[in-house]
Amino acid sequence: MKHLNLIGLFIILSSGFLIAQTNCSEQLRQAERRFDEGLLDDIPQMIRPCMESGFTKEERANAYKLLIQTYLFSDNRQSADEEMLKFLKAFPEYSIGAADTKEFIDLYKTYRTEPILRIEPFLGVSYSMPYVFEYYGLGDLNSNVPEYFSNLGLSAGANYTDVLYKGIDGSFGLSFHYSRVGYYYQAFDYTYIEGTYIELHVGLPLSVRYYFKVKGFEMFAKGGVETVYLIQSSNDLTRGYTSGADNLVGTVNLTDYHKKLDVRPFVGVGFSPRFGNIKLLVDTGFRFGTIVPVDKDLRYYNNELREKYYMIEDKWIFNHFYFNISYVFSIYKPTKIR
Amino acid sequence: MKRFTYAIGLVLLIISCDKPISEFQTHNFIKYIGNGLGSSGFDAIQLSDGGYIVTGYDVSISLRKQVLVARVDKAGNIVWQNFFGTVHNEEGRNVVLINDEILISGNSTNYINSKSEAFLMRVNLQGDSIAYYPYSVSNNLVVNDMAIGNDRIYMAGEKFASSSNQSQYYIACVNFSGEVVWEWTLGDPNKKQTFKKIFIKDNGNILLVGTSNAIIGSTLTHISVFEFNSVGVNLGNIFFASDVDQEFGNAIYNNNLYVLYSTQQGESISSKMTAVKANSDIGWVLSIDIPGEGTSMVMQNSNSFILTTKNNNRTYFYSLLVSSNGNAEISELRDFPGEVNAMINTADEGIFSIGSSSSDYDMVRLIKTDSDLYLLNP
Repeated sequence: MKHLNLIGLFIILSSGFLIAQTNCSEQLRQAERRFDEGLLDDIPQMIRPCMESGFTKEERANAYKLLIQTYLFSDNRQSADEEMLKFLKAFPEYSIGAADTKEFIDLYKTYRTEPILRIEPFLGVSYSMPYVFEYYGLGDLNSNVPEYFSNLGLSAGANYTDVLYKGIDGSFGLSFHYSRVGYYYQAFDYTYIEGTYIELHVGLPLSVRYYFKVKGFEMFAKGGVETVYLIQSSNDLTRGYTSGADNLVGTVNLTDYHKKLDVRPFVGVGFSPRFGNIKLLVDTGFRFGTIVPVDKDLRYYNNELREKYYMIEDKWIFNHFYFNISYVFSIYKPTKIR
Repeated sequence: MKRFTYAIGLVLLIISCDKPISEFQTHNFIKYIGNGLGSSGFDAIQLSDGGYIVTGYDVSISLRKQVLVARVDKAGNIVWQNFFGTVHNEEGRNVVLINDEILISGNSTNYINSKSEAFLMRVNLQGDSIAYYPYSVSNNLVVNDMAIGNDRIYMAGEKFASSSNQSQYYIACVNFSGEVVWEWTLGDPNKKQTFKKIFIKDNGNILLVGTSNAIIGSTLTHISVFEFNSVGVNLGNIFFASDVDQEFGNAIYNNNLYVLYSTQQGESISSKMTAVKANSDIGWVLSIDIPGEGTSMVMQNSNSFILTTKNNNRTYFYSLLVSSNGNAEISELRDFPGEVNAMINTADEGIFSIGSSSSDYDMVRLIKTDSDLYLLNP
């Protein structure tokens, strides 16, 4: 019985809301007709009661625009500004459409409508692409050289983005990269070394993004450079024997034997899909290593690596193919600027 | 599309290119050779192309030692390697290059009765065996060193006349066909005497360094130095004075003779170095206050040496700067597991060492460092 009462109350309230919305929608339509007929005087009184509640989101936006245009055509610039400010606070991500009048657009342009702060937290995967400049090794390099294998890694971080110029954004941020590269070397007939390089970097990416449209899709090209600092580098190693003897297994910490800094240029392309109020950036590209991390003066000084695993690090850089998804978190503060 | 295809092709070409070995690796490298069942290297020479010929032994799958001869390029990578031997245990101890052939001397030990014999082996520069000359006596014969001079091959070692513990000095002169021209066995058959190193002096005389119970009635082993003329006449000898045993380490002849050896007092082993002047006078005796047995040395210039000692299964490199009166500055360099059995000077004024690595399975280890001792800096 109690449940039935609650359901009844819900139905009554909902009906009331629907009736109110229906009335407000009708009011808006009538106000629009009056605007079209040039009867501007009563429009604010007709739709203002519905502004707080009673409109759908789209109707509310249209009501604001109608009010603004009504005041503009009534030469009430001050009220038009007040309504424009309310409108931009309620719909900060509004962008000018084809149906907007010249008067509305002119007023709109006197406001700062860009976000004052845009933070883009991102999460991504990367695919390591090692490139070897020169092989080293205890074994005979004339007959056999180490092999490297791409592996999946992860990236995460956040960027602060600002508009540099029309259609061009600049950003900087903080990122973390976890990357892996496989290694295999049949150093001698009787023994082989296999392992996985694991590296953790923190980076400061700096980039420029240029937006363009392709068949209505908002796309962008991106380029920049990231200074990364090595937090940890290690190699999970196994030295195995072809005879089947017990393997030597362990993790060798390479952090002290690698250079800490690398400067990594990157290029990419992406698009920015919207799902309602949620704006995402999806981009993919290449990040290149430029500084060989293995410290040449320490290459032969990692005794554990050399004596236990028969490994001397090669001269390599690890490039990465990446795929990132960013969530665009914007903070607006519309202000009259002209 | 066509441009894109070209770009992809170019990238693939760059990626697939052979990675060159830099000049750095021709001056500095560490390389291992061997089949993993036990190996060691004893001697090396440098070729005119900058590469090296090394010799030693490698244990075969039947667990017998076989002579290892390998040619490596100037970056230490193998040009060829060959293993020679019989069913017995064989080791290559010394290598020289003569008439574009590689000459190896070494020893073979019968795996059944442990009888030793010496051999000379000729190998061409492609690694093929040309000739093998065995030298045996009624008991054991061991050759420790070989030198070329006066169109002859001289071998020095020890000959066990009646007992496996008591040996006499042995020296032999053979022609390039392996035929013995003359040979001598010297010393008391009831002592243990051996020649460890042999040098040919500028005047053609033969200088031999070894160990012996020097003083009559003494049981102490002392370093001995003998000089023979080219036809085998003993011109005299000297013994290093000591009241403790002297263990031979290595020797260099460069008009003066420099001998590295160890002395043991109680549990403590330390190295000494003695300079013997051209007139056979002792120039100076240097007590090197470093632990371990001296194992090898090489002269960098007129007054500096690089030497190695062995202590607790590790090899320690030292740099030694000696003044004319025998005062020395010793600098400790790097240490490695395993042994260094020989070092040679290289054409780029660096140093090449050969020995064995230390791990579950010993390998022949080659260490090449440049004139700045890049790989030996601590």
